[in-house]
Amino acid sequence: MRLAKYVPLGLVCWVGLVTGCGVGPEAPAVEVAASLEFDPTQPRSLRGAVQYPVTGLAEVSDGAFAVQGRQGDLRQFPCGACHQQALVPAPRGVVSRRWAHMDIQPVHPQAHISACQTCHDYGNLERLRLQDDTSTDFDQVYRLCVQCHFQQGRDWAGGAHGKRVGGWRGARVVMNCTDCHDPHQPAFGRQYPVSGPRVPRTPR
Amino acid sequence: MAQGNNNRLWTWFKGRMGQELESGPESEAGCGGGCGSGCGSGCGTGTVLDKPLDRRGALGAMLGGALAGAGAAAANTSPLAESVDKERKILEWEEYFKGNFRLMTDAERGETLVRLERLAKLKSGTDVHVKGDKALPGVLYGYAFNIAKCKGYRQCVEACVKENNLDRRTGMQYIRIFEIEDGQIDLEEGTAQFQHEVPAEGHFYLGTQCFQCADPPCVKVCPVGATWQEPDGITVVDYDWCIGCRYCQAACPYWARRFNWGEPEVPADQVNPNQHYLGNRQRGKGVMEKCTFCIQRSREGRLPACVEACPTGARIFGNLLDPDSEIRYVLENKKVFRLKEDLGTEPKFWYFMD
Repeated sequence: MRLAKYVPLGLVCWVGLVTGCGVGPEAPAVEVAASLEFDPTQPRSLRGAVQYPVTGLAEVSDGAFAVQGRQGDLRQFPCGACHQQALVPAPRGVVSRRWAHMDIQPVHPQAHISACQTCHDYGNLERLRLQDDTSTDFDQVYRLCVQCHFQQGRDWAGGAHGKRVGGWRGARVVMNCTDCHDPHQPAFGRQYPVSGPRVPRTPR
Repeated sequence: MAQGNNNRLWTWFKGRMGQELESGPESEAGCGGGCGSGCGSGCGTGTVLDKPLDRRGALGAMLGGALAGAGAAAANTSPLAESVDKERKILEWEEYFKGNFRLMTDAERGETLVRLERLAKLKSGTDVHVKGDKALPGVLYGYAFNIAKCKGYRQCVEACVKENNLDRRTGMQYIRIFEIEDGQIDLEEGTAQFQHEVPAEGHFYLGTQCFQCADPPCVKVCPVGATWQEPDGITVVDYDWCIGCRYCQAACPYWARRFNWGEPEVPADQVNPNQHYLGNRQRGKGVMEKCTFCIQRSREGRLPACVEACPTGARIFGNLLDPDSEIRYVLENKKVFRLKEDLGTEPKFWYFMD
């Protein structure tokens, strides 16, 4: 019952997100029909997942596979909630340490070759800027990454890089680049391993 | 020569089993003076309670009835506990006299699955679902492991233990991650015992598990036919047919098989209820077990738990017969290698680098 009073609030937020965002996704989202019956072509965990056909890659034809939506996972989205005016581009190499984004440690791309506006579209902060001065939304972030990381992009399109969502069978839906990599600090960090072996291996 | 004999024996055994399954009642011999109260009017005809049975089934049912009767007479507890105890004993007897899973008819498979689910409920109070899904047609599973991507976090190991209901008491694990110095190729130089922050400088990580060989030596040595290769390439074990001789463990060149020296223990709240007869169902004391590429998941189109858990995307799984699959892309576009290729076991598990 306690949850019930949050439902209207959640609805308002959701409606605000959907209608308040002026920029629609580039490719239409495909909502997989939810069904209780077992459909062998569709892994169960994919039902109801939002996915976008992949476009603009040299290696594969448009829509050959789909990518998992990303925009819905962004905590501070939409950016217009704070940034109501267009930002003034900072000079190259100067990284503005605004307190609102202090959790971001911009080590990538390196500061001497890029600034925030290299990737972020200062005309419309809810989109990302590509090198040909067009823009793309956060759901299609791979289009930004593969501009430099074309080798990884090729492997990602083929299947040797990245992770598949759901199962090995049926429609291929993969994770987006930024689902695994922090775009501002993309290398995987050091951590303590879990579940060490308890049975020693027979020594030589 | 020995191989020929073995094959002939096996053919005879299979033929014999099939004959018994088809012809059913011809088992007068099993019903003598020792037949107790549970035997009833069906005694002597091979049927118990007018149900046609094969020799094994008839024997099991008769003994089960007798035992349950004796148990009921001797028990001095509440009626509820008594009936539960009786049901459990009957089920256990019927389980004891069942056949090899590979030789069972679909109906018999269905019956044992129901019995196993009920037994799990009676013994540990867990509601499990035991499946007997057959191999999907046109599917041959393959696996690829990116040694450039693996960072040694071992999250795959943890996911595997949880998914496959591995024994928590002895800490059984199917997957082993080796930390090897850069430039080394000898696995003997690596260690799986690392307990420090990973990835360590100047090291790479290589994971091993069952490689589901296309020509598995472990299957050849099994004296009772308790382990075999399924049509989709997964080598499985019938835990109720295994006699625990551990020949297969000795035959495996990759140290991929595990033995239950004691009764495996999994806390009731940690049991994964999605189970497969040939996969992660409850094992007993004294039987072998092994990685099955999470047969309970892969046969319903999902990825094995280790693939799903890997945070770096080092693990690739798919259908080798599907030219558009990710595993085929890896095999066609990357430099791949396998461990101990010279043994000719043809593992379906490849290593590659970016």
